[in-house]
Amino acid sequence: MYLLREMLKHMRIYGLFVKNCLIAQMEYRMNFVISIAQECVFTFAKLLYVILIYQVGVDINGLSPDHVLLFIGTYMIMTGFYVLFFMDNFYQLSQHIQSGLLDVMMTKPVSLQFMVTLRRINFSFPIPNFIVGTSMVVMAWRRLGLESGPQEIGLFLLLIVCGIVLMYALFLLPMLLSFYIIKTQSLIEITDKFWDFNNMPMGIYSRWIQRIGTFLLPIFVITNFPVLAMMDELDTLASIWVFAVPIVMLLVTRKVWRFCLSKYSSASS
Amino acid sequence: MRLKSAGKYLKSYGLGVQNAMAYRTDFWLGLVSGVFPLMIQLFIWNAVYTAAPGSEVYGYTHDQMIAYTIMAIVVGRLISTGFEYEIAGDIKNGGLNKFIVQPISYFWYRMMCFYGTKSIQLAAFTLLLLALLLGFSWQSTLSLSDDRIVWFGISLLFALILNGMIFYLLSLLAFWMTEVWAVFIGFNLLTNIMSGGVFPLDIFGPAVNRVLQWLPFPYTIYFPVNIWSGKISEAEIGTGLVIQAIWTVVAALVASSCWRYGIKKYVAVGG
Repeated sequence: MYLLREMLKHMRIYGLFVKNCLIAQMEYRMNFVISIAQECVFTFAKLLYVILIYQVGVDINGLSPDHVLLFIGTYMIMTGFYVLFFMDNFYQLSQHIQSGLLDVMMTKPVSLQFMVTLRRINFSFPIPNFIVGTSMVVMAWRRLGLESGPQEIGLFLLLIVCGIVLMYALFLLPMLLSFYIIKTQSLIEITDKFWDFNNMPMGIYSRWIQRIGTFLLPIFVITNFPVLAMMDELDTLASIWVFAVPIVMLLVTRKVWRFCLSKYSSASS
Repeated sequence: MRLKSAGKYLKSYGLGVQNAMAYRTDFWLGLVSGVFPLMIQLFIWNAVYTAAPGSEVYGYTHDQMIAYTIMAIVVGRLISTGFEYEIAGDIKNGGLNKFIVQPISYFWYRMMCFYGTKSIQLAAFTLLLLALLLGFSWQSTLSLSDDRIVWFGISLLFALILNGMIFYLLSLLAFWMTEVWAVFIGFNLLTNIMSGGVFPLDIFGPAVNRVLQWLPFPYTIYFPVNIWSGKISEAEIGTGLVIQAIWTVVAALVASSCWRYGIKKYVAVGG
């Protein structure tokens, strides 16, 4: 009962966050437009890979250009969710610690992790990602003649949700180093570049990279597994893993978060 | 008197050198973060060339493409600026004031700093390259003559100066816009793509490529890297160098007139 009440409270507060962020971003409309333009360039950079694959026009490790299109489209949609829900929060974590704002947040009567990691929602960056990503997925889906019943689309969406949860846990983890190091710029850069491995289907990488990206640092699970499920290429182990790993990672991240906090001694006075 | 005026710019150059020494971890970490995209692209090209064995893709042999991919990322790093954020900060927060009242040219101060930082990075890169040349026996697979290595070095220096000028010009945008950071980030990536820093420009097809050749950007990465990869004939090298020089002069002229207009708009906020 207590748990339910807390959850409802946090959901209501999250609604307020959404509203607040939307108002704040609409206040600076020019900024909003420029942000969209900036993200369009990034989306274009991801599209280069699609251009390349269609221009070359050969099957790569058994994947036709249309398959690759489906993978890259899903990657773009997931990038959209990342910048929508998480990016601003994770980038700001080190600033909160340095400026002492974290101390203020601690005094609020809500979960601190919730407050720190979900406070900001960015509405401008996801727009190009969602538009281009969804068009690519729909186009590839049609061209490949994949089943499009409610069952298939439902499963695809469910795996996307799993991916979002996993993304939260996995990308928060390196940012928690902000409790120990001051300059996190290169950390952010390396994490971002690591994510770009998903810009191509995992099938093109060597076995070892595939294993690392599936089990150790499961970034491939986020964007590759929903597509593999649609292509009917997930074996039993992978089908279990895709649902288990978000929960495992969430627990790990929660544990690390608590550990970091227990060692935290306020930065500024 | 002349010596005195050269002295202050030599000092600025020294500042740049010191800066590069102080933040050397940043430079190396930057190179490390370039390793991931490099790996991704190497896997793509390997897969592509396996699917179409023995053939050329966009006129590149497998070895040429690998050489292109590696060098494009390294050259992109070497010519990258970063001072645009400082200039924009100076203009926005009034840091420019102290330069206006002093007998120093802001442009030369910034450029000498930039060259100072880059000369250290270039030195580190040259050592790395020598190690690679000896280790990978690139000279034999690419039939890389000593002449070509020298031409590559010269075109790389020209590219560095040209790119510095382009980004100096861009940074002056801060006179007219207060929040230019997003523009810088977008422009940085866009010019990197148009310079051939991600993939060779040949993937855009001949039509787009012809248009791109009329812009200065291919002469910052695509041109020097292709001297290295051997895709550009010896005859074309001279023309390319001249075009690099012309674009540098054009950018400098535009920048100096932009500065004259901009400085009139400058309101010297802050203390």
